[in-house]
Amino acid sequence: MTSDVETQDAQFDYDKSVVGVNVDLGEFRLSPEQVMKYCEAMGESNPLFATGEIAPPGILSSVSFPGSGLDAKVKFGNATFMAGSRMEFFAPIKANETLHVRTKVKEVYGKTGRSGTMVFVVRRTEFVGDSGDVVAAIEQSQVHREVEAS
Amino acid sequence: MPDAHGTAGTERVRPIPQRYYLDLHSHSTDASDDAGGTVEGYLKWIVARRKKGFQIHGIVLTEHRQFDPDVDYSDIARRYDVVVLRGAEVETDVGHVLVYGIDERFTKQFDLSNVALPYADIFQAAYDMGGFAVGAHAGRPRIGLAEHVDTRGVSLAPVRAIEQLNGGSNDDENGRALELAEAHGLHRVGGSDAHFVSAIGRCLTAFAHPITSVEALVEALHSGDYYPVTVEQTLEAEAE
Repeated sequence: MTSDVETQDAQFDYDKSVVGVNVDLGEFRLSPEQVMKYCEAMGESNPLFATGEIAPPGILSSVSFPGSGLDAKVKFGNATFMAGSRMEFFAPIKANETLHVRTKVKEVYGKTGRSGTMVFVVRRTEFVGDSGDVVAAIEQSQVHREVEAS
Repeated sequence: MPDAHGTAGTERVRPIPQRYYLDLHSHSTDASDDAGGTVEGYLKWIVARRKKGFQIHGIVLTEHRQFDPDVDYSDIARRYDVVVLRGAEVETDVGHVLVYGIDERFTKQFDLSNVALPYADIFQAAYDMGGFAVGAHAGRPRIGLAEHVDTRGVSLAPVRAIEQLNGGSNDDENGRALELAEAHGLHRVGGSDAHFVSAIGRCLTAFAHPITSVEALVEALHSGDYYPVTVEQTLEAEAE
């Protein structure tokens, strides 16, 4: 199902049915050794992470999974690029705890600026502990826009 | 009325008569996708600026494409002794528009997330429903009124005021907005368009009387007795 949304410059449509639908990407577990290697590589010297039992929050950005969740299939513009990301941390990331990862298209919206109309796709990826509580979340924005040929 | 860009040449700066200064255009992390400033961060910055002699009495949060009637900043406003009011910045077929005094009727009639709202309807509905609308950053390309007037000849019949001095616009853009206002007899406001803490209060609107509610703001905007200023123009006059 697609949804047409009129904009100042052009129409854009996307698959509205994917918004809010979570997709499981898998699960992983960090070992203390992996945490300590990460800290060494990043020059992380905070004693909180010294034993590897608690991981620095940024370690989550180095985790990757096959697959990337549902595609909003935005039909707009001729270029896409990263428009920003933010991370939220709700609980310590513990070694040897299984984290379940799920992702969804959180929202799709248009906005206008000096250079024209842009369409943003915001994806939210959550890391969930065995208790069912969200330990951390990453939101990434991708922007679609029309880029003039140089 | 002071020049919106301050004094020219080598004229001595004259103290402006006591006015009430509000920043009519700002965005926060609470609701604007592209903002990095928190409301508390803005208020702390204003307190610091006041200590240096700048006069900023309050701000209006005009978040992008939305308005939540349940949000209330009165506690934090009281704590920092800064007036915090709320409006919205919506997107229309002639650029962005600041709307103050939004009520349920307005949000029922218009989907604020639509980036091509009909401007004439927005302006008129704002007035009819007890609010006020202002053409935001009027001199900017694409998203400011001036370009749409110049290239498409859109009517300014429903427009009473524009944001002539915008903290995120360059001098040319603010100048273009000034030309538009003067050519069409539009009232002018100033706003920072702050998305980050250090930008808040950069440009302001100077009102004749204190304003501590949205109702008072709307009434003042209807009066036409206001003008845009830069924060530097609010510096309390030094003793001679």
